[in-house]
Amino acid sequence: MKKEQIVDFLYEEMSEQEKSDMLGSLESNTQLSQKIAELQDVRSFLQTSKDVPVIAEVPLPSSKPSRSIFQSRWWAIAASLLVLLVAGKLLDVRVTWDDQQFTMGFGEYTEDTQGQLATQQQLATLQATLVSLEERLAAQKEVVPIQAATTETIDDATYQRLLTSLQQTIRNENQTLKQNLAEQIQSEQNAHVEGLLSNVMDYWDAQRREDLKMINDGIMNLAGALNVPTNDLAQNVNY
Amino acid sequence: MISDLGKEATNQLVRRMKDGDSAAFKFFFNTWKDRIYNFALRYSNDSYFAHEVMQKTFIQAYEKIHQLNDHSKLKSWLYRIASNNCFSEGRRVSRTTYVEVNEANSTVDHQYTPSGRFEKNEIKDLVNETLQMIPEDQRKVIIMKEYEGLKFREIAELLGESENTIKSRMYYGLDAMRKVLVQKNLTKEMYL
Repeated sequence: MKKEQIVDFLYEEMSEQEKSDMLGSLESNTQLSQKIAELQDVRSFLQTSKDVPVIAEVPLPSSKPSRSIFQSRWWAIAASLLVLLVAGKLLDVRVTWDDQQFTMGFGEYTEDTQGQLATQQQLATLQATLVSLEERLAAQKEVVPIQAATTETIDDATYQRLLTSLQQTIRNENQTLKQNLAEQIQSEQNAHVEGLLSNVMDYWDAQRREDLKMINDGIMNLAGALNVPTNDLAQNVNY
Repeated sequence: MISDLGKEATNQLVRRMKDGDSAAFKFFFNTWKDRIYNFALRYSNDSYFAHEVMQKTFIQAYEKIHQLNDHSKLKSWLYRIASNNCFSEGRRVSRTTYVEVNEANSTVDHQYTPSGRFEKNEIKDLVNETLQMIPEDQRKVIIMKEYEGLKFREIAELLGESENTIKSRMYYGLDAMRKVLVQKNLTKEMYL
């Protein structure tokens, strides 16, 4: 009798004719009959646990880490830092903060510090002075014919030279102030970025030291529990 | 049970899952999670392993549902994923220590009750332990047949083997279990 036929009989996956033939064989073959009885007992044994309810718990557990958390975590931090720096450079990101607020923005730096306000006020004053001087010169030009009879006269060429000289002086001062303002802004921006990086690195360094301490403590505890020299375990921690 | 849904309902369920209907997939998950968990638990006798297999099986089912062309074969398709995950997860964890812990647990002697019979939960553990002592390919077939109620044709299809090969594995698997029971001096009066 083929093994496949025995299995078919055990699981009743055979035709009526095949079943009848098998029953006939069982009557005449005690060895086959005993074999089927033994296998049926195994089936009964298997079936005893069929009705025991086993409930899959949900939510599912998180996966066991396949490698060191320490390694993957620091790779992730390093990658994130790189992405942030590149993105910050490309997008011209600026980050500022003071006692009241933390600000992040894109584009040209326009921080309203006291120094810059003062500089802007100076610029406005100069502009106003320029306008005032131009007005006064224009008025003076208008009265020149009257004054000319009694005092010295100012011809057009002199007037133009005076005006041009005055405008050039104001432009030069204006340019100097703008350069000072740009340098001041650049300097403050650099200081902020350096401060930010320094703070971030300090924080990460502190975290890293804390992690290392935890890992070392874990190794010591594990070594104590397993009664193994700590060096044997330490070489498996790649930090 | 999805096999009780009927062909048209199963077809509709798969179509809705393919359309990204989360309610349909939730129904699918809730209907099958215990079956897949039990399948993996009986395969491994390790609850963590079973959770891992169940989790991966449903994630893969969600990702690959569009690859299921014959909707009526949803059940055997799901078991094929679970079976593959049992194999791959088994290979992965065989290199870790918690299998050793599991094996250590399997050597714990079971206590007889005063009547000389096993309690129901003890029988479950005993059956699972005995299953671990037979070859993997035979174990898979026994679990699929005895507990999941699959036909030999379906098992052959999802394992990619001939039907006769599956029946042969079933025979040798049952016989191997019989020998383990004899070794453990377990008679049917103790568990029936």
